[in-house]
Amino acid sequence: MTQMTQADPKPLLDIQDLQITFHTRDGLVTAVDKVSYQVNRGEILAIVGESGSGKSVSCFSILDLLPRPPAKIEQGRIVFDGIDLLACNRAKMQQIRGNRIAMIFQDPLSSLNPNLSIGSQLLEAINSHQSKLDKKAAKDKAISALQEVGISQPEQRLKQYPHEFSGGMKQRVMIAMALVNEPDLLIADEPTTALDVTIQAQIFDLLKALQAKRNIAILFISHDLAVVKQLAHRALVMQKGKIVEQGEINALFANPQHPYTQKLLAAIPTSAKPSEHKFITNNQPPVLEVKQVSIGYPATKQGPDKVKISEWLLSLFRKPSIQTVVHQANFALQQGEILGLVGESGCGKSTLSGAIMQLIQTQSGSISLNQVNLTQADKQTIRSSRKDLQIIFQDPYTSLNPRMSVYDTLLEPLTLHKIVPKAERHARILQLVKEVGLSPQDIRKYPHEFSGGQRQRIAIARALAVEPKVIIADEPVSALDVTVQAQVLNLLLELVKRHRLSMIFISHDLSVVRYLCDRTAVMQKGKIVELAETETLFNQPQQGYTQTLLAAVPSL
Amino acid sequence: MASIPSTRQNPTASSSIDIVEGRSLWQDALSRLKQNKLAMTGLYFLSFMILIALLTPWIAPYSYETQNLDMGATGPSWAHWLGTDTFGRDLLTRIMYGGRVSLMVGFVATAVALVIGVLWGAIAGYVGGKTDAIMMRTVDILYALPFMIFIILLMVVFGRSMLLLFLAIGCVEWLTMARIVRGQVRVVRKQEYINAAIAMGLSHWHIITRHVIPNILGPIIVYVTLTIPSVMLLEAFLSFLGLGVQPPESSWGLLISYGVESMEEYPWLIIFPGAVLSLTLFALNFLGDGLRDALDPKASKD
Repeated sequence: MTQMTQADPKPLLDIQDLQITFHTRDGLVTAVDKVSYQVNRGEILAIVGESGSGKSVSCFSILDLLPRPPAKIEQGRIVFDGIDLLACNRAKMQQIRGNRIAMIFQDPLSSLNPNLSIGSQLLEAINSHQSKLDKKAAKDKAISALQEVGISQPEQRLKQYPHEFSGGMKQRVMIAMALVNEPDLLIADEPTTALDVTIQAQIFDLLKALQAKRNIAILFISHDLAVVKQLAHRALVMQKGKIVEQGEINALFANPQHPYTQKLLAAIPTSAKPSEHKFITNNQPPVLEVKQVSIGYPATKQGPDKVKISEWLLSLFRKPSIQTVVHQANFALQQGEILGLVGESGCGKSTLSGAIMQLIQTQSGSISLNQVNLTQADKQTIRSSRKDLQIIFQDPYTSLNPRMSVYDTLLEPLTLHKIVPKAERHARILQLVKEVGLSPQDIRKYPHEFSGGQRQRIAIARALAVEPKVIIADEPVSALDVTVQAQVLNLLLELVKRHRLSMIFISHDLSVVRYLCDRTAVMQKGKIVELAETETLFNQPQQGYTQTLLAAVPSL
Repeated sequence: MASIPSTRQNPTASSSIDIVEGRSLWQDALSRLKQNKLAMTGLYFLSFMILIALLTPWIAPYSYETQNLDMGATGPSWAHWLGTDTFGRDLLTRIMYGGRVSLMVGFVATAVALVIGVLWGAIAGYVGGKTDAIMMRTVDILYALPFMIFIILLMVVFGRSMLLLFLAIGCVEWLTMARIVRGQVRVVRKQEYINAAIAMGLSHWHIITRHVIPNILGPIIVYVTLTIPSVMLLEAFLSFLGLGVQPPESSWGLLISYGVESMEEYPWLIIFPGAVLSLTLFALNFLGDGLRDALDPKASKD
């Protein structure tokens, strides 16, 4: 395949007037509206857009992965290397899938089968398209495929199961699986969204290297413009099922024509923007003080295959051994201060926030709220202190009870902590709803009737309902679209300032942290390695790890 | 009976109201249920059957035990609307009396299973850890006991009584309920809104009743609608073995099993009890489906 590459006038993939509709209970929804684009050989084309813009739908239709019904391809043509894909029957489609067009998915955690070893999954991919290979040759091919994506000791790794790999490693395995049959086109659907920045940078380097070596075409779907700029040759911007703009990558970023593209670009909190607020030093005691806090989990058990009944019975009474995930964390939060907490996944930042919220027990150290040590407080004190301490979770899709209307969700904290007299509750709920930018009519609705951004607003309203002193925001915008991210962040910032709240802002997105936070703490492997005023930290990072982290951030 | 309730008009004419009232899930569910014709028909039918069962001693046309051997089995006639059985007893009367037993066993035994099973499963799933392990292994052990022996023992020790029969069946059926509920609770427990509720300072009991159980109602309702017919048949089986209802008393299950024996000569002996049981189960399923949809805000169109 790789020989017939350059100067091929015909595009590898040619999509003409593609229109896809979904038949839903609310009627016909046009997901992709007469979209045409081409992918040339050896080119990386990025499709950018927010969720619901039809970018994934249009790509899924290439491999016939859309559920039909409800999806229906109304019109259009998808021609791949001279083959009309929409006219293909199932058998022919199977020959193309994985063999000539491969795909990697957003979430490596769920796209590998947890019950099969990596080796058998790789071999399955090889055998389904290269049945002539004997066992030995297939295995060699699998090993070399793993080697190519940078997995060391591939022979041993073949026998391992997905849970023994980290997220980045799993995505590498996915890439190996996708490339093992030497496809001409690779469709990558947000391949790094679920990964850390440093891992993301590695995956990009890998994709770029492989692309240059094999000269495959990559169709890259993303909502992250900074990422797209690093990787792609060409980009097209989709909005509401239509392509609003397309062009060569540098030209598109330097001179966006369509207002939507401009809006997308403007919505990115650029790292260059200095934060306007500075760390307030006053002599008042801190609102929240974390001193020498260590947190551990019960160590993970061995496989269940060898457990004897007597051992199992004993284990019920024995204290499990503890694996420490946060080591001696120290910081103090002043009133009105926003403290950023950054680090890769698994560094313990969410565990620490859980401990501050008294959702997770600490091993040692003290957490004091208004000079009251919560780690040694009785249940009653802890419960009443919850009024002063609230949390906003990452995923607004799971943090709201789907069976409770907005009204009930907001009524609960008001009733519990007796914030306002009974007669004023209704008015208070309306006021809260208004404050987060929703309409009074919304209170009767249930969470599923709202978009992600609106749900996060409800979660913010719920946190504000008890009039807390400290809010912990655990990646509050990372599940949202970029333009919505900016709105929710600004709302959060405004409310925190208006109510003079303190906030701990947990994020893996450094540019957002820089935009928002007064001080920033960097965590690595359970330790706070650096804590400084945000600007100082970004301009003169002291620790090696902070420097690595900053360098990995894709920027415009 | 199948009439559409008159309260159906504009239950959610909220668009033009300025002062928006908040409503609870149950209020919303009720208004949604009222719009579901099939479920409402099921509800009315079940209410009708229960009403008949309650009034049977006063409205039954004949005595359920007086035999008229001269008459033997006769087909439906003006005197005996649904015919008579081989002993010359009026079938309609026997179906009415049988309904008392069957409906009672269906609802009481299921209610016992529901209460124990949901509480047991919810606590095990919510608390987790050792509590979960001990509670669920207890369930496993009880599962392993052959339930026939369990029921026979109960009957021997406490004597044969109808109430005991209901309790015994309930005590067997709750095990599956506990397992289903526990599994569902484990899933819900991991959702962040549970953490949000803890962070808010709610008590665990409040969280279980307000946040956990409403979110697992779907599977519970489906399982209940499956349990009611199965306990009705279980009762027939036990009665057939001489452990439950004794002749001349009867139940739908017993009527059907006797009807099967003489199906070829006297088909009405199986057709009528069978039809009544089937219709009741239909009504139950429609109501169950309606309730499940009504309690799920996502399933509604508005």
